[in-house]
Amino acid sequence: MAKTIGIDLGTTNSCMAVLEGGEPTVIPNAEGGRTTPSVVAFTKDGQRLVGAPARRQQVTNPQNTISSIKRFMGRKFSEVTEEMTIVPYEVVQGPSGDVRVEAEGKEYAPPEISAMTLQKLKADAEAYLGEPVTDAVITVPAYFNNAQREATKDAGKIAGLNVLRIINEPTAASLAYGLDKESDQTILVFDLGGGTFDVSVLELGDGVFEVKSTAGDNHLGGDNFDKAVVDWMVAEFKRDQGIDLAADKMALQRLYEAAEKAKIELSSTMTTQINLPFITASQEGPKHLDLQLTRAKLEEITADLLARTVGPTKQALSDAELDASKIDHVVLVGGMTRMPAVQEKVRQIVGKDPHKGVNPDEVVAVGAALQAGVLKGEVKDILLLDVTPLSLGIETKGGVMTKLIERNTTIPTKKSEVFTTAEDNQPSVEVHVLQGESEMATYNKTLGKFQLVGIPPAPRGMPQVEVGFDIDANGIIHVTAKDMGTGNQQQIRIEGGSGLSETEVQDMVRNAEAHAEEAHRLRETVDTKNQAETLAYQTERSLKEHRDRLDESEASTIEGRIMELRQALEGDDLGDIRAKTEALEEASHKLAEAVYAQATAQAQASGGGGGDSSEDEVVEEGEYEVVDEEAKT
Amino acid sequence: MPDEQVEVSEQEPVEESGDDKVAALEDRLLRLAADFENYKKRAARDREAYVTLANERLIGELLPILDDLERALVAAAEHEEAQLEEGVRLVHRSLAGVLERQGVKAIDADGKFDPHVHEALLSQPSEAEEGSVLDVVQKGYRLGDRVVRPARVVVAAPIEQP
Repeated sequence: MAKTIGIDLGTTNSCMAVLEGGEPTVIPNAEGGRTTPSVVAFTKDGQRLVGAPARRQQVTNPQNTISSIKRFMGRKFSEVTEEMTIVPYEVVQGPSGDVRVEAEGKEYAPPEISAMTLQKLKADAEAYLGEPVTDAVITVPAYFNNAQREATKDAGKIAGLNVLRIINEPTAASLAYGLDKESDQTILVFDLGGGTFDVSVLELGDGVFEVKSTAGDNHLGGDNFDKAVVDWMVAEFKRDQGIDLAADKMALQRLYEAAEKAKIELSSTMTTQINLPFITASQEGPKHLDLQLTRAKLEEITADLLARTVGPTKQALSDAELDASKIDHVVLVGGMTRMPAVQEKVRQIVGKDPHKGVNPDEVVAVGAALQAGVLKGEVKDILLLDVTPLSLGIETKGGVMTKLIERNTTIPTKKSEVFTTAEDNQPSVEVHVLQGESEMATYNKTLGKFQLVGIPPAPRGMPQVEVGFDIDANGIIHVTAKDMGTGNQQQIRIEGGSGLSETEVQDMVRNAEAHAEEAHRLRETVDTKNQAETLAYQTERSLKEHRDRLDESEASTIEGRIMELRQALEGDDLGDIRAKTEALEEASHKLAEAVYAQATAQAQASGGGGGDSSEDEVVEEGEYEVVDEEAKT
Repeated sequence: MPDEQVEVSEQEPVEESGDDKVAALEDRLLRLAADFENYKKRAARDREAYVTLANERLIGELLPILDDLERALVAAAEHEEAQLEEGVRLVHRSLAGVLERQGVKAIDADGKFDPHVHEALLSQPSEAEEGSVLDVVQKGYRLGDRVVRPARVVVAAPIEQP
């Protein structure tokens, strides 16, 4: 089935998304950008440019570069007298009183221009998806009237898209946060974009979104904030150096770029350095701009802009005849809403924390893609899969938790690992099932315990016990332990393993973090000791077997070092244990050399392993050790 | 007739296991979907790791240049301007070298203005052919066939007749 894309056809930028495997993904354009400027240009040599290239040539060709066409979509000429004076291109009256724009001597209806942007998006989406795209869901502002919606639909048609539905931008943003899953909600959508500001109040009942009110400011957005920062920089520079940078167009370009960068940076840091070397020159030589901007200062110089968001927001609330306390959800749209002061303003007015998590530049396109999925029946088919909130594993020697299934793994899933015994002739193993994030068992939660008995007498490391975890779609955990030698099997069924509340999960994660360092140290001790112990054990065995191949002095050196290591193991001095382990390793290499020098293939077949044999490379993990890891099926 | 018998005896168990089969298939589907989810998570993790790794290499190459710049600053405090200039020239050359090895190429900006790789900062009336690049304000670069940054240029406009 062909994919349906969701398109946020914006005033300054457009964005598109598609459902992939049930999840919305933003489709990057051919240039790699996640948003595409809604700009179309006609050059003198008859070329048509769309997106970034069109914007880049704007100053050389202002009359034939059409931006902000959205402001004219579906409007009557008589309605746009103000807008038409702001744009640098020619706006004329069409035969039926509608708006036409003129470029390179030709007249275009606004939907034709929008269609050119849509065509580029369509082509880029096809390149990305590797298949033709014919269907789309396109978003429009909630205040768009019928004519404006029809015009948007026409633009889609001209671009060769079958527009399945036109949906409201605030509705799309709410969908992106999954707010349609709950019923009877009141949602305030606060959209502060590049050049426009919209507030909408929506009411959701019986799965239908109803727009209760809209308000806004058609000429307020990120660009105003950038300009405020530039004005501040110009004033500062003038005060320090006596030079007016505003008169220098080249310098101004660099200032705008630096201003936007500083503004963005101050959303995550408290202070930023604006550094523009060689910004201009005077008789004394080159001048550099070096300013520090704090978040507080930024908020101060943009205070009037921030204040301009308050009126429309209150207006939208009063038009909806709602008290701020009746708002259940606040959704933020547009890059400017990343600014902490903007979020704070919203919080002040509405008294609620806004939803976070979806990129505010992309949230509308994401919602449109979800809507497209619903219309295509794709969303219904999505398998709602859960994840394990915490890691699952078993306790191994030394109280270590060996994780089999990491947290946030999507279920159902299955994983098994082969363990072995830690002692010679160990008759049984205990499987202690744990849940949690700590490296040490004691800081984690016990889910269950069982014994696998009847393991035939064998040296440690020989028996192979396969421990398997299987979590089904309902979160029920089956743990099995199987002696691969005898086929004996034992299992346990744990219910409600993931039935933890969000707070419990958070508590456990926090708890693990709090003890992380301690657990890590403990784990290191256990690992080092286990390794040392295994080495001592195995060298001893090999020595017993191959003693005749060594000089007596060499053999006794090895024996001595084994003893020293065992002595060290009684204490907790890790450095000492490590040193003794190394010393023994070195000595045991002699043993390996001797074995391999004298014996050929026979020696290998007899199972005689020196220090270099593969057995030694296995890291002993505990009461059992990992000898093999089986890929899940 | 033996044929029929075979059919009957085969049909029986098939009918009986119908529900089982559905359950088994459903389980397989769920598991496949979960595996896919987990694969996606792993792929995302891997991607992040690659980015970090790639950045690390680049940063490693850039550090000596930072050192050189610091040396230049120290030298500037002590020596004549001419020698400083020579030093900065060397630093510039090594930085350009690093970028070139990474596949970064400067964008040509002589000749005609091309909005795919150039960005017009100014349009200036000039004797030169209309639409040609008069001046490069800031050099542009591409990495492979991607434009990292377009060249910022001044473009010639026709001289307006009074």
